[in-house]
Amino acid sequence: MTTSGETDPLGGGKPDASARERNLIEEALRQGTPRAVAAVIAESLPPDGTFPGYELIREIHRGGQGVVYQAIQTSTRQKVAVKVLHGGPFSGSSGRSRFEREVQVLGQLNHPNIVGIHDSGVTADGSCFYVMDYIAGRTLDEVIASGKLSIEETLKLFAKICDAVNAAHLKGIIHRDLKPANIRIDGSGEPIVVDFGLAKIVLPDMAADEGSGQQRMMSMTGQFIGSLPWASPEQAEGIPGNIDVRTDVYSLGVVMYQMLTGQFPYAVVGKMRDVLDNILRAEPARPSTVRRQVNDEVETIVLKCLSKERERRYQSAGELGRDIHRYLKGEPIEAKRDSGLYMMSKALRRYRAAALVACGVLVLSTGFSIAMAGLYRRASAARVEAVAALASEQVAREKEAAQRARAEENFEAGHRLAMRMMTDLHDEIADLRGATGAREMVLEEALAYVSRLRAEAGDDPSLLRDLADGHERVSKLQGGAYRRRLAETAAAAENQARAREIRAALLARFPDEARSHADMAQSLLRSGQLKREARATAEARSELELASVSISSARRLAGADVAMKARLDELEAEVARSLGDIDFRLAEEASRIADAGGDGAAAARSRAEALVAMANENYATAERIWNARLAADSSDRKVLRALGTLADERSEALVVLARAQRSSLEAAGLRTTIESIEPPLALLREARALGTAALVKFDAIAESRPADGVVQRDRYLARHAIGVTWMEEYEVWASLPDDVPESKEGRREARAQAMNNFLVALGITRNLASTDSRSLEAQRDVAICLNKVGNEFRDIEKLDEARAHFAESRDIRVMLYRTDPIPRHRLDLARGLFKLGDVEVKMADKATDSADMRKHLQLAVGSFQEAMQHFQELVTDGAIAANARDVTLTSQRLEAARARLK
Amino acid sequence: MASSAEHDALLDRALAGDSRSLVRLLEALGPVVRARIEPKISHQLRSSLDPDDVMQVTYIEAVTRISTFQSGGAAGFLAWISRMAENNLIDAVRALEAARRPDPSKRLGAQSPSYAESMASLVDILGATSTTPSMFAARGEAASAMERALSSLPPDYEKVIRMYDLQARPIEEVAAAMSKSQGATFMLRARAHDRLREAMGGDAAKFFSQAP
Repeated sequence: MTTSGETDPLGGGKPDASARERNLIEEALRQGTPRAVAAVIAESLPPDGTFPGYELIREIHRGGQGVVYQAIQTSTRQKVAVKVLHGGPFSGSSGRSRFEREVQVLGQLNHPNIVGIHDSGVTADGSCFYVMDYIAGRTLDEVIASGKLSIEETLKLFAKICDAVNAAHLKGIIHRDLKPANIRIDGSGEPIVVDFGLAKIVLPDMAADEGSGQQRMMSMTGQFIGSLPWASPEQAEGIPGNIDVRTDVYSLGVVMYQMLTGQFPYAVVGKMRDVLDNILRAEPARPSTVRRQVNDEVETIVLKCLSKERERRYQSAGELGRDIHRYLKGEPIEAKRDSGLYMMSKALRRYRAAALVACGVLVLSTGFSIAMAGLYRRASAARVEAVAALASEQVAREKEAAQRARAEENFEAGHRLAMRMMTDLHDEIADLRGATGAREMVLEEALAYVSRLRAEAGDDPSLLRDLADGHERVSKLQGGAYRRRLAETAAAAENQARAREIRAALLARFPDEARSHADMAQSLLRSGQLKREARATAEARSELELASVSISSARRLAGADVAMKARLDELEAEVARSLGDIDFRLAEEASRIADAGGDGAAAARSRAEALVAMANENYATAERIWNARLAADSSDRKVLRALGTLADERSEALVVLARAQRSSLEAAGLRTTIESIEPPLALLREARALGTAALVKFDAIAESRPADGVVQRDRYLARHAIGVTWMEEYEVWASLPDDVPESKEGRREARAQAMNNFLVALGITRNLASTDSRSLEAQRDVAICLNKVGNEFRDIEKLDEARAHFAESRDIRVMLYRTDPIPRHRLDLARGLFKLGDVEVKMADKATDSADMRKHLQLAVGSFQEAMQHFQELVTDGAIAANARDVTLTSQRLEAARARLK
Repeated sequence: MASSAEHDALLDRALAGDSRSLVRLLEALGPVVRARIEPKISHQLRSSLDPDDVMQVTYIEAVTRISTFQSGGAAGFLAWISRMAENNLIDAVRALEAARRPDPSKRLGAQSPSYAESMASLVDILGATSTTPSMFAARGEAASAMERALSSLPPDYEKVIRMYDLQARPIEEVAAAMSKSQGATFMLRARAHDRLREAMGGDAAKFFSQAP
């Protein structure tokens, strides 16, 4: 927004230029308004001539008291606003009386930041109206909602509002309904206070007109007057006699709080009784906890306005305005005048140069004083010693207190810095390519800090929350799903567990706070994700389901807290997606079993289909939540990324379904036809469309953030997903008999497309891994891609290329497992070894001489043996079943290769 | 200070149907568009076309077509209205050039004095199909579809089509009646045709598909 004296770089310009622009736009709006709507609007306007001398243009506001129209003053062609009392000639006497009072109040006020009144009267049919300035622009509400004012801009604007309210106070007028909706910001950024419909007149000269010399109120005794969220404690109590200018100061305090933080100082939604209770008793949350940039002085000003006792507030809007002006000029503020240290530091800051000179003088005079004191001491030593002892005791006490205060300040500052390092700094660098080294440094510092914080936290809930955040953050740094991990999976789980313990304890202490439940849900979600990573599926599912329960509890307690609601939405989407992932991975396993044929194939196929349906249900939940967020902000990167990832996952789920359908066709033993393969092909086309849509989203983000490593990984995942659809399509075409003419072309096309997509994916992952050699996740991605490309080479009989790719993949997996010996890495390695053995067998088949054949078979046996060892260890650890397909197949191949060698 | 985030927020509200936000967004971005097109209007052209004219039609387009704007944030919106302004300018310049060398076949009233035939020729001009729809347009069905579409347009759009295309009044006369420059009138007409094409929508498809 544009405040006075500043020029908006985009919207700025001279006032006449902006007026011209506005006229053109208003004309466009008139032209562009659909005819039907225009007719309704026209019909709703009072007939021409209702307000002699004014032509009504449109209705601009309809409130409790009356309707405001935009109009043109016929004689001057100036735009004006006409306010008409509801009810016309039938309006009640109190309403009429208040309306007349507003006219009277506005007539008394002549201030550039208060709406000016031009005319008033009664229409032919008896409706009261008055004519005032037409103020284009927007309300302060909208300015606050945009959330883009700096602290200084906020204070400059607010000081003008105080000046305007003070002008009314000086006339004995209390507004009583100050709130952002009653403050308009005109085209040049000037605030204009409007709507004095509830104003109270307190000066005898004006009140005398009402037949009494006493201060009187327009409202009936005990009737609540004003708008609740901005009401002062004395308004909430409903004691009219207690209302004075300090009531406006309180409301101004609420407005200032909102302008600074975008929030109310306490909860103002819910049951009226609770809100009144909050106004009367709840201490406002410190603004700096909501917006860090709010400093101590500004915080002191706003909190002084919000004192529950009137005596402790600023005694008028003028006093408040003056303190803000002082602050803006760098002078000491009145609110802190009682602190000597503050006064001195402020003066030093303001008069830095002068202070240096003064210090010089002070040193000289201190020297002089010491010399004099020496002489004096000789004359009255005993007395001086006593005084000195007392003084030193005093000094020691002060010193100790100062040290304690400094220690607390230092702790607070250090704590904030450390938490910021763990959160903001880490989040800033987490997406950068090649950031793993830097993240490791952050991790080291974070670990050291968290252990110190553990000692400090004690019982303090706020520090305990930070400690839990710290543990969680460290856990994320150490290893997490879909992040390039640092090789400390076990430590990650441990830190997660500690965070969870703290969250659980806090939840037990504060069961009525939505935040406690939300924090717990977050812990459970992370824990579920880590367990899923570790392939502890059942435990993972149970953690995620518990997270859902916590989210529901938090929702019940959150009320209308928008930020909390958004957080819960995100958590819910993540939980749904993670549940979907569990089902999907299980579906994938089942479809592999089904694909292998045999006895359990049919059951596995049904299971795969059911699991995919369950996964899709969860993905749809997550998608619905993210889509709602996208509707609110179409460029939100986080949302776009989440939706892209979901599209990828849904694409993979469709591939699993297509695979199940294909294997079902094959199992039926019937001759497949072009018609019979259409359903799986259709699924694959849909999957591809999803993958492509995801890729488009990721490409768009990548274009604007070329250094963002996470989005590059997303691009790789999308390419990979598309490649997998083609790979499966190849299998579908291959299920057709060779004599079907389309089969060959279908296979050729699918093979080429799969290879193409996997090669692109490999390029992306290699690039990521080369810029971030310490990232295990990046290395793992390369290994996966190498295998995929190797498969394609193998299937087109380019065995040397296939072996080279598989061997490189195996080498990476060996490194991964040595660095981070988790079951996932072991399973990857075992499968990689199997693939290598498999291709050696194929090379043996193609060998032209027996020596060559033996060499390949020996290599195959070596690889199979090694794979077998790892699989057996995995079985022992309970990571895979003893009869898992991987185990049986490797065992068969090993025996076969051995047999051939003999 | 206006920021792109603030503009994005305004755009979101404008897209959700809040006309006040749209007005504020146009107030903020309009001067940028104006600064882009002003240097493109040569000194000679200024007698027939004022930057205000271009901005006026651009704003009408923005107001009536905001729902068709695809995402891209405030920056995308700025590009969108800039493009509209430039297209408006190009159309006005072309039409002014053409007016100096009028192509009789492009004027309706001259060759089709009757209302029905004017309507039919207008359909031809709108170019919705390569099939000549004259026969159908001459019938009541097409005429009433056209009437429906015309009456849904912004008043100035309707007026310029009625006066220039259907009543075949000279541009000078139309411009004077609308209190606009000739350039502005041509520009309005170009956009009015675009919107008429859209407004015909299903109706157009219906009777064109029945064309022989």
